[in-house]
Amino acid sequence: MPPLSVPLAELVPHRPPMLWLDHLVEYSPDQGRTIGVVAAKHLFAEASGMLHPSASIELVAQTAAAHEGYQRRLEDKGVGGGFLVGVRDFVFWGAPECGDTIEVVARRRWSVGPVSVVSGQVTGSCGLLAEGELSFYLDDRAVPEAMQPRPQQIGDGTRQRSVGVSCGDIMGGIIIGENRDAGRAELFFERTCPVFCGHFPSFPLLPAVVSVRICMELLARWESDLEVPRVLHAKFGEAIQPPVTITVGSAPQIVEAQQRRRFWLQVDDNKAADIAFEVRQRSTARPGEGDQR
Amino acid sequence: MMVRASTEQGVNAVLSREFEIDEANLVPTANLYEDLELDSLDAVDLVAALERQFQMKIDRHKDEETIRQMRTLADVYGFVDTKLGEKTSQSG
Repeated sequence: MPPLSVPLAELVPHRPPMLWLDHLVEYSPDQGRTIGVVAAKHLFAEASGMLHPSASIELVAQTAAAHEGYQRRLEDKGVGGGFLVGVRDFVFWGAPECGDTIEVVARRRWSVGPVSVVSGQVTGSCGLLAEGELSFYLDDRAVPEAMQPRPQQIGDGTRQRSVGVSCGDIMGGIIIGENRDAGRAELFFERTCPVFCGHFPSFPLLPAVVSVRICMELLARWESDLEVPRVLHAKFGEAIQPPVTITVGSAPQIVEAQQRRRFWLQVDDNKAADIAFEVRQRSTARPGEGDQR
Repeated sequence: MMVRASTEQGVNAVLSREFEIDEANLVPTANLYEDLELDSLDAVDLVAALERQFQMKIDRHKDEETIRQMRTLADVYGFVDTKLGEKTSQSG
C-alpha cells in the first residue's frame, strides 16, 4: 500500500495561522496520524522558542479533525464541521519546539450521539510531549453549513465595547480589567485578532485551546510560583464569536489532597467554558511523576 | 437487578468529586438530566470518568447504544456493574 500523505488543508476547515499540521500520513477507521513542522512564527510560540504547552490540545484536535475529514472523503462527503467540547486528563510532559517535526496520533474511542471521544498523543524529536482525551461535537453537514451558529452560540458578533486602559493582552485579547486577589479578569477580543483569521475564515470562533491558554496565562500572572502539569477536565459548552468581552473567574480547590485551580469563562451571563487544572509548585520535575496513572 | 454496593459507592464518588453533586441527591431513581442536571457533554464526561475510576474499557461497538439509553443513576450502576462482571470473567 503506498504511503498516505494528504495535506491537512484538504481535510479540515482550519487555515493559517490556525492550521498547525502538514499532512495526514496514516488512516484506519479507528486512528489517524499526522505530522508537521512547528512554524518559527507560530501563534503559540513563546520567547523560549517553545510553544505554549496548551498547543498540544489543538494538535490532537486537528489530527482528530483530519481523521474525520479523511473518513468523510472516503464517503464522498465534503469537509465537515466539528467542535472541541471537552478535555479530560490531558498531561503536558513538555512542549513542541519551533522548527521541530512533530507527530500526532488521534484514536477514536467511542461516541454518544454526535459527541465522540478521542484519545491522543503528541510526540516531538525528544519524545512524548503530551497525551490526553478530547470530546468533539461532530456535525454531519458539510462546511460551510455546519459552521453556522449553533443554538447556544454566544457573543453576538456585532457588539462593540469601549476599551479602557489595557493591562496587557493574551493571544490578542486585551485585558481590560483584572483583580488578582479575587481571581477575576475581563478580556476583549476584536474580530481582527489573528487567531480568528484561520478559525475559521468564513465563520470566526474563539478556539477552545485559546480559552485554555487564557486561563493558564492568567494563572501564571496571578500565581507565578505554580505550574500546570495537567488539564483535569474542561467543558466548552458555548461557541464564542468576536467581537466579544469575556469575563474569566477562578477559584482554588483541593480535592483528595490534589491542588486544583478551577476557571470559568463567561460572556454576559452565559458560561462558555469550565476548566479545572491540576497545579503544583513550579519545579523541574516531569509532570505526573509520582502519580498513579 | 442487584448491583454491588462497591459499584454504587464508586459511581457516587465520581459524581460527587467530578460533578460536585450533593450525595443526598444520589439515589438510584435520580434522572441524570432532570434531577442531577447533567447535560449530554456531562454524560460523556461521566462515562469517561467511570472508565478511569473502574479501569474498564468502553467497547465502541457494543456499549455505545447502552450509554445512549442511560437515563437514571440505576442505569449507570447497572452498566458499570455489567462491565466489571465482564472484566472479571475475562481475567478469570
